[in-house]
Amino acid sequence: MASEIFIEEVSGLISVSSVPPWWVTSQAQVAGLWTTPGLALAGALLIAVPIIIHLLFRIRRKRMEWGAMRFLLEAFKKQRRRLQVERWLLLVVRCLVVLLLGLALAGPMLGGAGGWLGGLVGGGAGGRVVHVVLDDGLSSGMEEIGNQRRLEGLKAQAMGLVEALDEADRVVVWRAGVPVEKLAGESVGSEEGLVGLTPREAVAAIEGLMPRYGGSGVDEALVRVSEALEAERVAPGRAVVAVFSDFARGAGYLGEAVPTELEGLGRRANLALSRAAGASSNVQVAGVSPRRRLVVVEPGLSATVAATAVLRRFGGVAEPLSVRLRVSLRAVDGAGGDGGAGVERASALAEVERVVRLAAGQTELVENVDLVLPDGEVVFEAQDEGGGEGGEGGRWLAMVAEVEALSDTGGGAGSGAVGLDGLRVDDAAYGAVELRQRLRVGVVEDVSVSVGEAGLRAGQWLEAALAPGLGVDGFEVSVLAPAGLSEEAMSRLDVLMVARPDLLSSPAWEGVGRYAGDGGLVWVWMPSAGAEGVDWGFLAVMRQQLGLGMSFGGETSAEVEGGRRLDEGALAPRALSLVAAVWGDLVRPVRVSRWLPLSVGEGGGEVWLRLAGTPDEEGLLVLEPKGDEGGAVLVCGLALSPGWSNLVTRPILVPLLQDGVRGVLGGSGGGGLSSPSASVGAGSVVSGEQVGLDRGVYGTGARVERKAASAAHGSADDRVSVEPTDSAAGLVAALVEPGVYGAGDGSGVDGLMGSDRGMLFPVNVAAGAGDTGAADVEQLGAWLGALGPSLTVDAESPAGVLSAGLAPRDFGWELLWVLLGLVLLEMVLARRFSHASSSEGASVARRVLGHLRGTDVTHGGLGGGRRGRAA
Amino acid sequence: MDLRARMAVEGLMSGTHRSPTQGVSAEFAQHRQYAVGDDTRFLDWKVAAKTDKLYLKQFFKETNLDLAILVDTSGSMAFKSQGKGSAPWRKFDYAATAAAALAHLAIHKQDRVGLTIFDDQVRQATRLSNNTNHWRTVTAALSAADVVVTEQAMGPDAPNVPGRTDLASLFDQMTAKLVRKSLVVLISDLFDESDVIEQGLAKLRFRGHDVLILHVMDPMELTFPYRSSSEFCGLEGEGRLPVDAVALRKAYLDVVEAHLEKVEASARGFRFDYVLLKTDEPMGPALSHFLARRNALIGKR
Repeated sequence: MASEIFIEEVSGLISVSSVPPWWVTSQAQVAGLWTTPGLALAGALLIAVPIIIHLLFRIRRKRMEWGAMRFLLEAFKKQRRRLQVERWLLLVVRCLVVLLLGLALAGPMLGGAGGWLGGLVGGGAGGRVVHVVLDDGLSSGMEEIGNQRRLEGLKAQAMGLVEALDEADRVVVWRAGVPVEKLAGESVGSEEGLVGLTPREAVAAIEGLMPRYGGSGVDEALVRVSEALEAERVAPGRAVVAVFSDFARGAGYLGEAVPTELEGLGRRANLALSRAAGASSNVQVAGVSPRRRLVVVEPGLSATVAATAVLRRFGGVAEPLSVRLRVSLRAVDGAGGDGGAGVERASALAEVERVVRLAAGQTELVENVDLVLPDGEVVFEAQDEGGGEGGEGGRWLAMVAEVEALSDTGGGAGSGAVGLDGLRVDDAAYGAVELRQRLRVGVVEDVSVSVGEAGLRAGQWLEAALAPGLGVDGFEVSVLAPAGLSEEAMSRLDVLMVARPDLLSSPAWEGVGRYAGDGGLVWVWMPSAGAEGVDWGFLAVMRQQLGLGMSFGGETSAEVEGGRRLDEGALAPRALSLVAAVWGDLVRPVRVSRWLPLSVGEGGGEVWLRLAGTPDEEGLLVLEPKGDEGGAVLVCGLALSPGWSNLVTRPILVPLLQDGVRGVLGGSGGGGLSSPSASVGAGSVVSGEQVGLDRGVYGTGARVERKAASAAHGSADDRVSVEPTDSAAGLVAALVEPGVYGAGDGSGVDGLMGSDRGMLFPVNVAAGAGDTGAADVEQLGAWLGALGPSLTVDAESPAGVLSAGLAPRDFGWELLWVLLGLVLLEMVLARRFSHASSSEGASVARRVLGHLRGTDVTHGGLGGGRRGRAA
Repeated sequence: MDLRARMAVEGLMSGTHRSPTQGVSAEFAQHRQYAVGDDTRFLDWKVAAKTDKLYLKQFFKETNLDLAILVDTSGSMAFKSQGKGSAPWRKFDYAATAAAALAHLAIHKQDRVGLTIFDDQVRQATRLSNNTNHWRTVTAALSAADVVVTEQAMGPDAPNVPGRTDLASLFDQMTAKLVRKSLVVLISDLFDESDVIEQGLAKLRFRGHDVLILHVMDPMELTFPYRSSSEFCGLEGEGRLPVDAVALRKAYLDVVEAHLEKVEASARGFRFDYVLLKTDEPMGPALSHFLARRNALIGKR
């Protein structure tokens, strides 16, 4: 390893497993028991002081003739045993006082190397609760030298620790790879008041773990451990939290603050941490996404699906690297294949393979590829043969991008290329694209008006731009009368264009609002009613029913002759990225003589067209997202009439309508799926995330099934089907295995793929977790340091952290309290043993001095009591 | 010795020694109604003439007292404490002075006095005599008496240890020797078994002797005031005992007190007199108090 991080390194801990756990085997260990070993040694030596004094007093006994020896002997005979016990007891207590004073001042460490004492005071074997947090996140699949995964090493350490436990101990195993999971059952061992597995069960559970595709969730796992510790109320000396992780740089939590629940965790339990792994080389596909998720394939013509793949590499970036990138579109519903579904039958309809080179120091490469489908009509015919409903819905294709590091010899990433790319599971990424032969556009138009000012109605302008009748139209335009606009009619449309909004009633607007909320695209143009004029009162109704955030100004006319120019310097809208290169040329000839200014509201929106010289938030064409299902509302402050502008006669009208519609619809996540967006590509799900499927779309029997995957993510027969976990609360399921999934209802997934409810969505590995570089020492140290005192697990003897008692801390204060108690005990014993009640408070010093001077007398006795009798 | 004895009895000479029983003497005691069989020589004719009733005159009986003084010269009697609060005399010195003083008093009253000096056996004994010169014989014997100290360890229960108190033997010899009822004065530290002492006192009582016990103790033996560990060396062959004096003090005092109480109880039980004499206190007041108390008892026995 290039580098290793040692957090609170305690070297030289017990490395021989055969010795008792409390045994101290070397001088270094003895020195490690104290913060000031010299004082401990001094305390040990000073034990001699009371012994010397004791012996001195024996040697310096004063010889004295005594008459009443008979009585003295009799008294001594009666008291001999008691006197011996008292003498030795006092001597021991005094020796302990001196010893403890030295030890307390020396700063003894409890736990850590002082585990022998911890064991004596209650940290002994048995009855411990050990939380094993095993990080099996993406980076744990990194193959190190010898083709062994990091996880295997971590598992070996964890099992070594667990095997050293007693049967009376309980183990709780946490999988810290996202999604975080607790392996120990709550009921196991509950009879003893402990939860978790027996050590033997825990070893078996750990042994079967495999790397996950999600990121590292050590922080989340530790939070749950902390909550468990609170609930279990295990004494700090009995609770052990052992974290086995590679602490790779890609761990997302390292860049965040330590959760408050984890601060001081090392003081609530004995905390042990494995060592961080060093840097390793890895190449990955960070993501792949189609430029548009909705592609219109015109019959008889080839279709091109533009895609963007992002490649990254970590470690060893100083050298240039060649990689082979393969991006393919695969049919998942039988088309182009043998008619079945499943991973192995997801055949490629289009594929691009190229070798790209990452220069020295280059860590990221964005590669654009065009995937050409040979004949869209053939594609859809095949779907029809395969049982799809065709015509109603689109055709979903899985997009798979795979990368392969090439060794210097030109070979593939075989065993010899492990040094270039040690982590294989992030070598593939997925996307999904929907093909459509036609988009259905409904135009709300007053058909009672024969012609407009230029001889065409607004609807006719729209139809001419969208479906000019050349035989390759991608749009199917239908005209709807304002009075006949129903939700049932709208449900069959992809786009609803309202050319006469002034003719829609309030209920009609309400239905339009629901349509947009369900994922539809509504495009509203200003009405051109000719001489009879327009009732602008519809603006308020529309704004209310559609829930728009944008606001409208009054109708405005241009003061300049020939109309005002548009802002040709503005960037093209995201949805029109395909014409971004010529956007300025398209905008330049447009002149506007009448318009209704629009202002972007607080809810957000995107200005597509803007008059030159107007503020950024003011525009002529504004896009506002609607709802969570990818719906949108486009409002244009112009009417489709030459009296308002020359837009209807300029070339921009065709790409504005066609690409605008495709762009908006193609950029949506698709109906029915609510999921967090991954870093690359809308609608992508990261492994381990939970996905909710709309019950309204898929019913209570909703399910998802993996339809395509790379060989890196499962065998050909690996068919992954995820059942809903909670149908009542939104059908939530956690998707772990990467691949392209299809969503379906109770009847299955395949049957829906050709319908408008069929949907594919990709599940990708947590690309960020593939950063297998060495974590920043300071960052990692700060994060782990906030957890409190901890010990580092020795990979050779992981059980050493148990014998070391973990969590070393200075318990000098505790010893001082014990010392105080001993001093008090010595005073009481000395006073009691010496019958000091008759020595009238003579201090020890006075007694010693008196002894040395030979004035060894006291008062009292029988004199007073006998005096009366003598009299 | 002679000087010390004279100083000790000075002020005690005002009283006379009288028998506690009635008898024939010149001193009238009381009248008693005549009963048949009474000696008619003691009829009080004057009273009969006046009252026509017969009464006898009774007189105090004046007897010749035999005083047997027993002085202990065992090794423990050589003890004299040291340091602050110690006594000025050895126990034997104190005992010898007391013996001489009592002998002086008795001879002065014409009582016969005999001196016996003993330890493990009777070392010296004088005859009973009320001759004036006999007092000098007594004091000479006391002066010449030698206290035998045996420091060599011979064990507490070893027999025939020279200088060790043997009261049992003494009592046996005295009961055999004293043929008349006598007043036996035992001056000793009584470092012997209390049962032996009690048995000896019982024998003397059986023979009708009266006994006065003058228990001589050094004040340090009653207080054991030592504070440090010392090596105590016995004077009657008990050997040496290294011990923490403070730790043993209570037990020692308990043993001593038990012994004193038992001896005193035994003496009181036989209606004998018992006086504890501490060698740091003047002898006169103690003896004066004792004599006054005996005078008060005259006629009550």
